[in-house]
Amino acid sequence: MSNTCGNKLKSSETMKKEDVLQAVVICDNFNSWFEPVSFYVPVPLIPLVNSPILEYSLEFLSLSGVQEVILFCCSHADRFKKYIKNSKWSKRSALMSVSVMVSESCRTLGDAMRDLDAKAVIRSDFILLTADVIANIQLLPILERHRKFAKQDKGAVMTILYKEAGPGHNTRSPEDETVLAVDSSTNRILFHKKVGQTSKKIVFPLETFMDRSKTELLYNLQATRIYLCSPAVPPLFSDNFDFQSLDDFVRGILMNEEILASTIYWHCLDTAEYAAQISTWHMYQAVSHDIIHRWVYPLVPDVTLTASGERYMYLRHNVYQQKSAKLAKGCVLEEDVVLAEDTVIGENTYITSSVIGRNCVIGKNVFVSNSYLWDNVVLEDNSRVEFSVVASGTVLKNGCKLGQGCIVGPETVLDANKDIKNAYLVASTSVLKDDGNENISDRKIVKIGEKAFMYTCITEDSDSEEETKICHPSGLILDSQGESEEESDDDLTGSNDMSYRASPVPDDVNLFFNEVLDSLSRGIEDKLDCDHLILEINSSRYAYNVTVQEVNYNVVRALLSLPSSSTSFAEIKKGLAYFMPILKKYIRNDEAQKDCLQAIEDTIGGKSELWDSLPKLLHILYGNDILEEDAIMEWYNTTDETSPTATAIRKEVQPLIKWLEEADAESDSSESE
Amino acid sequence: MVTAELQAIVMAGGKGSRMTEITVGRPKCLLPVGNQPMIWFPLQMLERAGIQDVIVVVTESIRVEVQTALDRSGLKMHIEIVAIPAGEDWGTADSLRHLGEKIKTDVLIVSCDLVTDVCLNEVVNVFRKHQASVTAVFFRTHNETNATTPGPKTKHKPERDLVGIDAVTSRLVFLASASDFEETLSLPRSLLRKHQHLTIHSQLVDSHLYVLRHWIVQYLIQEKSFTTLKGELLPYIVKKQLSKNVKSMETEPNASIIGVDVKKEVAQFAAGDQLDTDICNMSTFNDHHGDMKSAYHGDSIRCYAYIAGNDTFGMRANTLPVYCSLNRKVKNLWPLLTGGRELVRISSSSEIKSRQMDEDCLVGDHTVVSEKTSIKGTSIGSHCVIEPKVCLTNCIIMNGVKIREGCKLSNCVVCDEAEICSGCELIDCIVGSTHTVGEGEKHSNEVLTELDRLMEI
Repeated sequence: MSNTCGNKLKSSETMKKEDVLQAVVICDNFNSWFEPVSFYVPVPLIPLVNSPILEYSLEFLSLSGVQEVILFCCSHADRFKKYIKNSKWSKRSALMSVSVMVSESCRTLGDAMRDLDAKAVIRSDFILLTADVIANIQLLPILERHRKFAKQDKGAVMTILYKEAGPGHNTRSPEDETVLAVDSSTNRILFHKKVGQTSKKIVFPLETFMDRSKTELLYNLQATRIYLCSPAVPPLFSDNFDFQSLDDFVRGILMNEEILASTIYWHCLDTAEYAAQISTWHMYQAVSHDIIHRWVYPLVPDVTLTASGERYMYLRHNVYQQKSAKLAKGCVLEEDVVLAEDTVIGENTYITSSVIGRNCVIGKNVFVSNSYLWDNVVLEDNSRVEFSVVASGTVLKNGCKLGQGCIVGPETVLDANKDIKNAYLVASTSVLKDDGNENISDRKIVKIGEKAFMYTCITEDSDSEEETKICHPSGLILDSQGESEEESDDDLTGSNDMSYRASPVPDDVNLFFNEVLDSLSRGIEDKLDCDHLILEINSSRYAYNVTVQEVNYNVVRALLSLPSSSTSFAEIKKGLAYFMPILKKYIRNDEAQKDCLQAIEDTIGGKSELWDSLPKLLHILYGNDILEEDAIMEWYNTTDETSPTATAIRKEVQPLIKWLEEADAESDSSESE
Repeated sequence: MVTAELQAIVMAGGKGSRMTEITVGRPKCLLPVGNQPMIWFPLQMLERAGIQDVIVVVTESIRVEVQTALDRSGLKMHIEIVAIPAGEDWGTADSLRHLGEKIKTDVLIVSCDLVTDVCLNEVVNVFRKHQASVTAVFFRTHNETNATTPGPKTKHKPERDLVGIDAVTSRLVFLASASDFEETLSLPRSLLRKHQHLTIHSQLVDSHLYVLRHWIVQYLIQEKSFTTLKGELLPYIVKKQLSKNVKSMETEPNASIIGVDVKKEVAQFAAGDQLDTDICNMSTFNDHHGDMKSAYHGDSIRCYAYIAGNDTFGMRANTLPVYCSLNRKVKNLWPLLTGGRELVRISSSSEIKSRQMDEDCLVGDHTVVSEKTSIKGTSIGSHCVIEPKVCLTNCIIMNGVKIREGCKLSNCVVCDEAEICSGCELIDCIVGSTHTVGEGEKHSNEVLTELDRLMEI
């Protein structure tokens, strides 16, 4: 009996080192999404529903069976050390050991991985995530799966976890739109692409499809940013110095599959499981909402995360309240509200869909909705806060208004009756200058109080235009209505531009027109010789086999449709002057003049803003002997009564006609003399 | 049961340009498959599905020939043969347009070279269930047994299509030939936004069996530029699913004059019954999940794919390798393909004196097979003469062929009225129609035919 027991012990002893499940948590997101708050607080320590984000990540890892966590810190290392020291993870009873590893020189996740490789702390398969991941999934079964993949395929280095979230889903980060091509029989990832906000087309290598009978394209996924890695991953980072982020890594591995002999697999979470990365304020808002709505159970305020302090009461309409919070008469907690301890709320105050931190003082007749107030915030009477994040220690004096996605840094003091929308606020400008960020010049800082400086959003990316449509620059979703509108907008533009396969019936004349338009716009841009352009047009003409009539018509049409000349007559005039030799070449006889006039009518007819310049246009052509009087008169007199545009256009040119008639009469009379 | 709802059309106007070796001077649709003219297979499939009226489209030049062949086929359905001009090189879309007024309802289009046991009812049910505009049937490619094909050794590169099918709804949303792309394939993002889980198949074979709504035929009649269904019309319709419904074309404010077209847009053709739309809007049914869009994303054009199951047999005899392999397989699959009919292996009017003839042989009417012959795995057409001491292995012998004494043929295709003089040895050869192979010749992997006939093509 004792013998067997001893054996068991022995075997478990030897197993131990191998079997301890390790997780590497990177405590930096290497970007500036959480400005200006991230100047003061490292992102993992930002409170999310009144507990630091890191606490959720660690809790999740512990619940899912991880035994050893390596907390990899690049900046603010002392704060993390202090935090861990004071947390339950450093207690002897903790099921999971947390060690802090510091490497201040790391600027990217790639650096961190290389450092990890150098320090050789990884023993077997491990879990890689950033400290801002919230999840409630069981990792062990997925790890089993990963090992199965690795057994079948020696090169399997990574399993990426995805969850299903269609476009427009709340926890789908707009920055993180990915398209995945996978082999459904093996779950291998064949192609992975982050598509920006603006790209209308997604380009796949053809061999992805041709190499196998079936390829799945998935656009309904959101990366959870949880990666199951084999020990081969850190060395791969060391070997490839250009891998900066995990996206680089995935792209590099997939592109050089043969050279690196590595493959990546994917796993889709069960619909009951939750995982999300708090990568932006948008995700901060979405995840807060999900926590309050208990999607992340057991990571909800009243169950797990009240290790310190009082327990939360979970009341109707998703109201969570700690006992020592004081509510005055007539105040309303509508729904989805979290109130932490020692917070005092004044009379007739209305709060909905918001999180209020500890020791906050909220005055009378205050309105708070869809906002996140951290600890020690003071809102004086009659203030109003909507769709904003207010960091610790901020004071809003009487009657202040914050709205539409304000992010307020800690310790800011806002004087009475300020009304601020859509801006970042900080207590002092020193942080902005210190941080060594190159884009400082982009920020327009306005002083609005002794301890309040406002600056508006920095447009870092060129594609942020689109972004503003979806939600506020800060990323907070202001209104679900706006989003659906954007969706339909996008659909519409997408449908206009659907030439993923050349139109099956290419209209030769249209093609010809496009060629001519191309030639002309290039011509005017590069100041090409008109003779060359004529040659080009002629060769296009033979290529597309169009008639002389169509050539004349389309040349004039193209001339008037040049992108530069689409709006103002001055531009058209410039174009005409430049291309006059071309016109002279093509518009030679009566027939050609007819075509020319028809083209003018059709092109200008579509742009009512140019109608008034029509007589001038005709006059120029007349003056340059392109159009003859007879042709103009004939055109003028052949009106298609049914078309209102045609009649309207002819009305516009009446002065010219009159002038022509007069001139005619004069010359007649002079002739007769 | 399918009768009033659908009109069936069999497209038999093709020349067999992918296998000219055996189709020179012969209508492709009458090539024998298991001693039946090829076109008999789609027709009997339609008959079994309960269709009573069929339009068969043929070229003018072969009309009479097809007519006589069909009269002998023993099909009970009413077959109307419509001829298209022979010299014009019309595509399938042209043919359909030519039928024009004859088409009054939704149509089921079958190609004459299709041999399959796919269940037509299931196909039509997909069409009915979703008020589909188009339902196309696809087969999975089976791994071909590597039997050598007669004729010169060439690499037959099968044409491959890329077929994109929504994994949730089986909507057919992308259709293109793989050869249209060089290195990359780009898809519009809106397509992926709409069909978030898209399966791209690269090894499906288009069966050329389509069920089309009536409005598509009407659109085709207006739009003269389409010549083929598979190559042009279908990809166009599939693509058009993505475009927004244009509700009011007329009221567009700054439409230029040239933009206003007398022609109706596809969407206007497709716009269904107002009642249907209302029902769809009021119902809680939705065909997909993952976004908040209404059922079918409000599309009036809806294309669906029906992928035949793994156990379904389906082949299109449009190339020589497929034709030969089909002839080999068809004997064993006969009851499946014909709804339980028994295969008449040896015609009663034939005269068989051979003792060495295995079970895998077919012999047509009035054929004489002499004694001392060895015949294995070979189908022999009608009015043939096989003289003594002939050895045939895995051959396809068409009608009226004479094989003289002492010939040895293995894996050959011998076309109509050909004659093979005594003592020949042919391996993997094709003998063109009415060609005479001289005495004692030996060939392998060759096409034996009158030179000038090949030149005609």
